Amino acid sequence: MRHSRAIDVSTGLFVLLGLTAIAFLATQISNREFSLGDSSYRVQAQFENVGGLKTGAPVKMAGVTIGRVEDIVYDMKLLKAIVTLRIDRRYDEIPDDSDTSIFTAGLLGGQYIGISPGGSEVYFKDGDQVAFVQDAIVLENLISKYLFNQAEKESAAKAAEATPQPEAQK
Amino acid sequence: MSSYSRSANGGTPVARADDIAVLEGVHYSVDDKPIFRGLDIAIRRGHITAIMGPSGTGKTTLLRLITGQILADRGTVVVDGSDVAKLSRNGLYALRRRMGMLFQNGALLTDIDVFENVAFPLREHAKLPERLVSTLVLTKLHAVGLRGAAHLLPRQLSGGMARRVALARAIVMDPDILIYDEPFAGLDPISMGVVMRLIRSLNDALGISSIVVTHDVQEVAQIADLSYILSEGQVVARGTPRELRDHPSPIVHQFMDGLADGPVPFHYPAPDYYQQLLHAPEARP
Amino acid sequence: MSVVRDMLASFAGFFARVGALTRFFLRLLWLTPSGLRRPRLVVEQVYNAGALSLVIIMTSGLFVGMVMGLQGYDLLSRIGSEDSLGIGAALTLLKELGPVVTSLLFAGRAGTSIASEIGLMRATDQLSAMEIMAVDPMRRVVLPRFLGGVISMPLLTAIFVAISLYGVQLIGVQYFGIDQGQFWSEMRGAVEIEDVREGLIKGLVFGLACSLIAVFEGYNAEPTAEGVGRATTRTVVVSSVATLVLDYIVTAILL
Repeated sequence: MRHSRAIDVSTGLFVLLGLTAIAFLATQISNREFSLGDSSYRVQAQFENVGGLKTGAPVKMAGVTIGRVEDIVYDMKLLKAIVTLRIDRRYDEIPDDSDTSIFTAGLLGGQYIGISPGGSEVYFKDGDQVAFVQDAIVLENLISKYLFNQAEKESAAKAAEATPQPEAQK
Repeated sequence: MSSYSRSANGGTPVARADDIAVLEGVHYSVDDKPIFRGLDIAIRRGHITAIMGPSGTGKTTLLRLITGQILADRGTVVVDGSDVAKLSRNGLYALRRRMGMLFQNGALLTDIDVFENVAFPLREHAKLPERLVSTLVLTKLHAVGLRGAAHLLPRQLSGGMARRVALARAIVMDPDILIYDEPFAGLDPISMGVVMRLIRSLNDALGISSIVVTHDVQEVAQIADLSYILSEGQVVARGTPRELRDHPSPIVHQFMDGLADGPVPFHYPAPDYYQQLLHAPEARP
Repeated sequence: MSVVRDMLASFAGFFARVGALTRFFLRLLWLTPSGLRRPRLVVEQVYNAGALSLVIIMTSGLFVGMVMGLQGYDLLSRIGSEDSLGIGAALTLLKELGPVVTSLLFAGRAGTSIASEIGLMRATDQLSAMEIMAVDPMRRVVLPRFLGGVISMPLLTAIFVAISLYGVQLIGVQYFGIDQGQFWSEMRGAVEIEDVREGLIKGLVFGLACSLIAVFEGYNAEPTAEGVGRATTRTVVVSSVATLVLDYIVTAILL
C-alpha cells in the first residue's frame, strides 16, 4: 500500500499542531473571552440618552467586566432608549438600587455601562428593571449647559446688584 | 514469421446488426477547422479493426468520439446499441466500464505501483475482497507477462513494460471493447512482437472487439481483420490487409508503401523556388 | 482600432475565465460531501499541502516575527511606547500579516505543487485514462487536493502567527528587555477574540481561493510541458493577487 502509516502520523501531528496554535491564540493572547450563554441573566435599563453606547459594550463594576450590552432599542411609547444588559450569573448579588451609568473609556474611547453598587439587600434577578440610571454625557449638552449656567449666573448677579438687598435680620 | 490474421473475408463492410460500434456521417470540427467530414465506420464484434492514416488525420479524435469524451457536430456514434450523444453522465460511465483503452504512453498513475495501477478500476468500481482483487490483478499481469513486476513503480518500467501494464489494467474489468491508441509507437522490434501477439490473443481468448489506431502498416497488417484508411477527414479505403495492398487509390498506395511523395505532398506549400532565390534579400552590410 | 478590439477580447476572455472558475468551484462544493467519505485521499493531500509546508511556514513566521520585533521596537521607541510592542505586533500579525503572508507562501509552495501535479496528469493522459475507466477525475484527483488545501490553510495561518509572536517576544523581551509579563498582559488587554476569529476567517477564505486556483489551473492546463509550466506560473500570480484583493474585501466586511 502506497498510503503509508508515516503519512497518517505526519498529517495527524500537523493538524494537532495547527489546532494547538489556534487554541493558543484564542486563549493566551486575547481577552479571556466572556462566554456568556446560559450562565447569565438579563436586566433592563431605560435611558433618555445612550450617547455612543453600542451593543457588545462591556458592563463593568469597579472596572471589572461583568457582562455585555445585549440590545439597545427605542421605545416609542415610553420615548426612552431601552438597553438590555446581560450579566454573568457569577455576579448575582448586585443591589437593586445600584446606579447604572454610561461612561466613556479614556478621553475619547468607546462607551460602556458602569454599575455603582447601592445598599439594598435585594438583588437584581433575571428580567428586572434598573431603578437608578444616569444618561450618557453628551459633549454638546455639557457645553450648552455650562454656557447656560454662566449666562444665568451673570444675569442673577446683575439682578442682585440692581435690587437693594432687604435687611437680613428681622 | 507466422501470419496472425484471420482468413480474409473480402466484401465491403456495411453496418450490420452485430457491429459493436457504428459511426455514421460523422462531422467534427475544431475552431472552424474540419477534422471529419462525413465518416462512416463499422467496428465488427469479435474482430480486430485497424484505423490508419497519415499523421494529423484525427485518429485520436475518433477514439474520443467513440468513448464519448467529445460529441460529433453531425452524424451519429452508436456504441453497443446506445447513441453516445444521448447518454447521461451515468449512462456514459456505465458504457465506459465495458471499454478498455490503452493510451499511447500507457498513462499509468505515477504515484502508485504496478499492482495498484492494475487494481485501480476494480477498487473504484467494486468492493471486492482483497484476495479476489489480488487474484484478478495477478492473473491479468500474468497474461501480459509482468506478474513479477507487480511492485515496481511506473517510473521504473521501460516503455514497453509500461504499455503492457496499461494493457493489463485495460482488461482487468473484462471489457467488451478494447481500444489501442498507437500501441506500437516507439517500441523496439521485440516489444512490438509482444504487443502484437497480446492484441491478437486477447481478442480471440476474451472474445472482445478490438480497435487499433496506428500508422504502423506492417505490424497491423499481421493482426488486423479489417482496416480503414482515413485521409482528409473521410474514409478513403477499407478492407482486409491484402485488399488494401492491391488497392487502386494513389493515397492508399502512398500510405501502404511509405512513399515520400504522392497525394500527400513532400513540399509544404511555398512560393516559386526560382523566384524566391532570385529575389532573396541582400545580406545586410 | 485593433487595440481596442484586443482589449475587449482580453476582457471577454477574463470574464469567461471567471465564469469557468465559478462553475468549477460550484462543482467542487457539490462534490465535497462525497469527498469526505474517502478520508484516505484527503488525508494524503492535507499532508502534501499542509505538513510539507510546515518548514517554510515556521521559518518564515519566526523571521517575520523577529523583524517585527526589531522594527516595531525601533518605531515605538521613537514615540516612547516600547511597551506596546506586544499589542501592535499581535494585532498586525493576527489580522493582516499572518493570513496574507501565509497565503502567499502557500500559493508558492503548495499551490504550485498541486497545479503541476494535476497539470502533469493532464499532459500524460492520466486524467483521460481515468475518464475512460469511468472514474471521475474531479472526484479522485481534484477534490482531495482542493480539500487538502482548504483544511491546511487556516491551520498554517495559526501556526505562522503563533511562531511569529514567539519571534517578536524573542526580540522584544529577550533582546530589548521589555518586561515579559507586561508584554503579554498588554497584548491580552488589547486583543479581542474577534481579532483571532478575523485572522482565521481570512486564513480560510485565502485557503479556498488559493486551492481553487491551483486545482483549476492544473486541471485546465494545456497538455504539454510548456502548458504545465504556464499553469504553475499563473497559479502563483493569480493566487497572490486574489489574496490581496480578498484581504481588502474581507477586512471591509468584518470591520
